[in-house]
Amino acid sequence: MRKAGNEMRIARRYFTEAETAVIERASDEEARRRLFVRMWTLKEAYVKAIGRGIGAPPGLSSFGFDLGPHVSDDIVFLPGDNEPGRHDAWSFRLLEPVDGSLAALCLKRPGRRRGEEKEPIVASQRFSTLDDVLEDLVKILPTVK
Amino acid sequence: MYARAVFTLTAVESPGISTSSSRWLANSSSMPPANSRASFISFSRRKRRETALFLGASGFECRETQNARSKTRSKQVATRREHDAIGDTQQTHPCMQGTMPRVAAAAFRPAIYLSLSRRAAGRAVLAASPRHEPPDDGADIWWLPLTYEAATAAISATSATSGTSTNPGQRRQHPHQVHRDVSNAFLRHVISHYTSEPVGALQFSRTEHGKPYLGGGLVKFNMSHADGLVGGTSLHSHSVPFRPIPSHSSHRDSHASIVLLRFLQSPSRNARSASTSSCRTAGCGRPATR
Repeated sequence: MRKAGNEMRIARRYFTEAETAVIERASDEEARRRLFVRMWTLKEAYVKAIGRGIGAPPGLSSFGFDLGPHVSDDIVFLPGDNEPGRHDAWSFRLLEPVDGSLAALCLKRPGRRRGEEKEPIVASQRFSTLDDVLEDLVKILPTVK
Repeated sequence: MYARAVFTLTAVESPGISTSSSRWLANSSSMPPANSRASFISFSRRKRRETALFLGASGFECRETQNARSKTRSKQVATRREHDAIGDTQQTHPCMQGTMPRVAAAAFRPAIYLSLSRRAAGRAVLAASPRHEPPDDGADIWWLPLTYEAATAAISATSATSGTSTNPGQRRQHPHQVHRDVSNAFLRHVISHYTSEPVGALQFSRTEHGKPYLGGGLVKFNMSHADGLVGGTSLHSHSVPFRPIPSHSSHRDSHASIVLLRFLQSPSRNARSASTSSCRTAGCGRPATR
């Protein structure tokens, strides 16, 4: 059911011109899709961290990301002049916790301003299993329903 | 001496890049203490003294060192400082074993001509010290592999054993809702680890955008859901993962968020959900969209 160019339509609607251009320049469909997903998760992570929705003004095109071809490449955050969070120090990281899943992590570092966020995010990961959670699920089930 | 002057001003101007600089400093033979987190050195040209302030874990101490070199040598260095390329890291003091980051030197080029009095240096450190919180803060990420099917099975089994809601006339829960219920349990499971409170005692509230938060704000967290995986993040500080942030920490001012997308198996769905996902999942932690 997937339509070719779906990503490009969304990109043109939500992304900055520079981001759209980067995706368009990608070598093939697969590369375009991966770039799109990386940009999307990063953008969503940022608006989530700042506490505004995707559709809330000034939208997703008031800031951009400059990405290299690989997930582990540096992520350059480019806030526009109208972006409320432009003075803050944001750090981003992309992870692939399991195959086929992409996670974008966004941190606002305390007491720092933009340009001072040179240190990469140190991320400690822990995987739980459903068994770990079941006991707690029993306790809270009456309240979550 | 020259490179130290650069470092000094770098530390003041941009604490964020002081990690590499202080590591570099720790390598330098004349520069104790190894456990200092961030350092500040001032160079007074007039007195030919260097003043070093080391910001350690327990505060900061002031250390003053007499310039090891003779007056003549100092003059030569001062002259060279005026003429040599700023980013050149090769012309360093003999005691320097590390390498000054070139970017830092170049970026703060104008600042090198400042010379700070010791008192000014002390004031600068005092002003900057809150920012010199140990830089090794980071993010905890917790994952729970969880498909919709597994969530449904877990809820059914749990409902049966706890005897809560097996009303046959009850409307079947939507898989997304069931997935969120189990995710909710996972969130409480994780947060209770931070707060040492029973899972049932945790009181969550929601912002006007629907983003949940814990009263008191000591544990800042954020979650994201996808079919197959639930992920959450929280901040830690002082290099101790999976522990709450101390209440006095400046990290209380920080924010963390995580967004998870499943893209390999059903790209069309993800591409479509990308434009609508926030509405669909607004109840589970993402900010609502309009």
